[in-house]
Amino acid sequence: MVIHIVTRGLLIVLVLITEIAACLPVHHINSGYGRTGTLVLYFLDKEYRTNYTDPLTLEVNLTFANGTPIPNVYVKFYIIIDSEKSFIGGNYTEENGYAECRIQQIQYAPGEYDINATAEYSGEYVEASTHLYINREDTLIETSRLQVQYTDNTTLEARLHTDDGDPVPGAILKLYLVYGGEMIGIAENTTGFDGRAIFTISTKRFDWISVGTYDLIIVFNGSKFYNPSSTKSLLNVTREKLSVMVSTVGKAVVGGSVIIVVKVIDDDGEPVPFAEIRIFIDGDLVGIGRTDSDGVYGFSWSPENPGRYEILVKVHKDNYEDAESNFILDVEGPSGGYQLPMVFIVVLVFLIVAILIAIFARR
Amino acid sequence: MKKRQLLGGLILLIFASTLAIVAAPSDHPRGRYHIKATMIIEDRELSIELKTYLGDRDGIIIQRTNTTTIKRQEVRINYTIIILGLDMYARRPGNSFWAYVSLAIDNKTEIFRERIPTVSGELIGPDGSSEPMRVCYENGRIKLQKAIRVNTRIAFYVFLLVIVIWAIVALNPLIIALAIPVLAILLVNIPAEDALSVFWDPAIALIFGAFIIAYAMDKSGLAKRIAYIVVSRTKSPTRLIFSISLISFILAMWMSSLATMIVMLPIISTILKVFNADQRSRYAQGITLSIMLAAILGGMTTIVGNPANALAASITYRLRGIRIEFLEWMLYSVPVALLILLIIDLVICLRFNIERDLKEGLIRFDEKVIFTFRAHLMGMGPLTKQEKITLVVFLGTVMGWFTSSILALMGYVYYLHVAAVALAAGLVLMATGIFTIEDMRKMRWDILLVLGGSLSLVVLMDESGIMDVFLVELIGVGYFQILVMVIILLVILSIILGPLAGVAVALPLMILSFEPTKAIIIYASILSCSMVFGPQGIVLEEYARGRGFLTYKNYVRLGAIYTVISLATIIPLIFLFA
Repeated sequence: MVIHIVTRGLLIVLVLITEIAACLPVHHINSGYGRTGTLVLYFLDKEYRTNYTDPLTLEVNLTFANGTPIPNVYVKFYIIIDSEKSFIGGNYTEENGYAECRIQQIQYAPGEYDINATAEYSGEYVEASTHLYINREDTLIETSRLQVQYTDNTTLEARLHTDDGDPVPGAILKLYLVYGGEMIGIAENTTGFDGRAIFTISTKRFDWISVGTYDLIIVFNGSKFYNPSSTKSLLNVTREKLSVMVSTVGKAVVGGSVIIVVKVIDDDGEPVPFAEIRIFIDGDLVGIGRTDSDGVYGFSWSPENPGRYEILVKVHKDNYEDAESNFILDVEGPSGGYQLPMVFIVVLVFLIVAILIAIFARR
Repeated sequence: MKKRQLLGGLILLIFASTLAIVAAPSDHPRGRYHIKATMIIEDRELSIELKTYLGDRDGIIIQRTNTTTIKRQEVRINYTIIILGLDMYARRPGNSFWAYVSLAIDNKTEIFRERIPTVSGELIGPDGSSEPMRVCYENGRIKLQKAIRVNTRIAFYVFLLVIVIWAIVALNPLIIALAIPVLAILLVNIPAEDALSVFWDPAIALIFGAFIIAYAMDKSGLAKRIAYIVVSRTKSPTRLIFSISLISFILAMWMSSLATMIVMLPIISTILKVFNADQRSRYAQGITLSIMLAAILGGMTTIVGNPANALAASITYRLRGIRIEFLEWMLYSVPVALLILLIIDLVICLRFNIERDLKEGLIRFDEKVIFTFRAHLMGMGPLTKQEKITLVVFLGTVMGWFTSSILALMGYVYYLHVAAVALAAGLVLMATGIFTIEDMRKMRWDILLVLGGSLSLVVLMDESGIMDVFLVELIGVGYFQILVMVIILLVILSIILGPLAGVAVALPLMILSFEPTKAIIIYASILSCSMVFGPQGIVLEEYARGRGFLTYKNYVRLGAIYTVISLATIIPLIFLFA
């Protein structure tokens, strides 16, 4: 009795298993390999690896169980994202049962995915699966060397692209300047659709930047899709050109004073403050001073002798090209135009007469 | 009055009247005026005009600007000349046309805070006539100024009349000092508050306080004791001249020259009596002259030593806003005065040698006589309470004056004013009974009033436009030429009218016509004070001659040598600091 019951139970279980197996259309044996009845579908590679935005070719073979290839069967390829199958392409098998699916650019986020391939032949359905590993794409930054005059602004263009040359948009690039062994961040910008970012560098903004050559480093810290990268460039800061204008206030006459007004501007027309001014008159240094915040310096000179004087004004400021300006100043003699102070002299005479009369009167 | 005085007075009166009619300018009529400022930029003349009126009252402030641009290559400079003044000025004595002129470079004016460009100013009258304006500088600002002439001819005549009366008629200087404000107010219509308020100027308050201290030093016997202490330590007649003149010098630094003579002459008399000196003794004359000249020289060295010094400091502050500190004055004057004293003492030792007197028996000297001085000192006994109080007050006052100077040099100019220190010392001396009401009646009020009168003369000259006439005449005249002319005027006036009048008239002219340094002002003042032939010297000489040991001839001879030495020492210093 017991044996009968056990036997009947086993039979029921066997029937159930048989029925369930008959209902399943495909049987997954292992990765890359599918087999249903007489059909066998398998991926040529056990797993696929690629980078984000790189091309990918998935290859399968469809054969009968005895190994005979099956041509002209349409094979569909799917990617499984969050348990959802997403169709990515399809192709017909060739004479040798080979079919491939070529994807120009992988646009899926880096990670591990399951890839499915399905085929149907004479009502029989077969499916194979494999793993796809998408890595972050390698990037490169292209830029050029820069040359700028002190206090000027300049722009630096950087282009971020993948190792395949594709632009990387929306990436944040940081610009560093190496000063005293330290990397000092001076700008930050986001790449455009073409992978380009423009940085404006103002040497005036950073007063510690002087004339010389500096390393510039542009850094991309990477993202979910792209690997970090960096590049080095050079910033060559050259001396700024100065323009000097000298004019005079007052009449150049012996006994009077004339003010020599010096105005210094840079190449951009901006006044240059605190520039050192040296004034030479006939080769002799007569005055040293500095321009004010408006780039103006005034020097008062009282000529002692009439004649023609050569006034030379030399301007020096660190990080600027030295400049000078000279002009000729004619100094007139003591103006013969003034009249004798007659009233004053007559009063003096009056006082002297008063003394004489006082002596006379008091004797 | 002698016939000669009348004749001389008449001549000078005619001269003065002619001068007043011919030389004095006419008054400014009411009407439209233009104040024009001109500045030369490069080779161009940049000018600006301010249209104004001379009317009944002062109007409102108006401003005008004129801009020119100079461009060369890429650089351009904008020069803007700005004038600021009133649209109407009141026609009254004491008022003046004024306008501030500034130059802005690229809309910024700060550049000329310390460096002033040359500006010329003109006042164009209703009839189109043009008069130059006085250019002065106030804290980096350029000010054009011209006194509004009202009753100028009368003021000029009053000024000349004062000199005529003072020099020839030889009235009491007190009468002249009081006549100046009276004539200025009644005839020239100078505002009474301007002409009279100067009679209690800080300079007068300072001298008043110093007089009280000097009086107390004399009254208490402190000054005499100091003199005897020094004399009793001297061991030779030659050294005695040096030490006694030094004492006179030091006392005169804090007392007036006359007060010093009053203290020193009895001591000299005692010394000469001990020496058994004859009236003809050269040494006796020499030692008398040495203390007299030392008293004059000592008075030069402090602001309180001579009223003219206080007046010079006061005028400088009034006209330029610059304070000459007590200590500054001493730093400049003491070395010079000591040098002159040393030279003059050497001359006295050579010219009034005691050896000849000893040979001729006109004087007797042996070391025993020194004991006589010690006996005098011992006879004075220990320091009395009055002497102690006076000494403490004197030292406290000197410390106060020094502290005031140090504070001022550190920038605290409004603290511990020297006049207040002097008055405080006077208060203490009154409170302690050293200086009494009776003493107050005996004080030299005449000197204080003469000082006030001199300041009033400055107000008259300034507000009536007389000073302006001189100053405008001096426009364009070289710096050194002005200095020479003003020094001549200073010396002549100091000889005729005394140092007070010399400083009162010549110093404003010097200060307003150019910018003299403090050293020039101090040396000009001490030059005036050094005049031994002026009224101050004559008073001292008459007082000394009255004691019997000085002849007029020797006074004139040594006075001439002293004058040459002091002029030769001080005048080069004025030019050195110019």
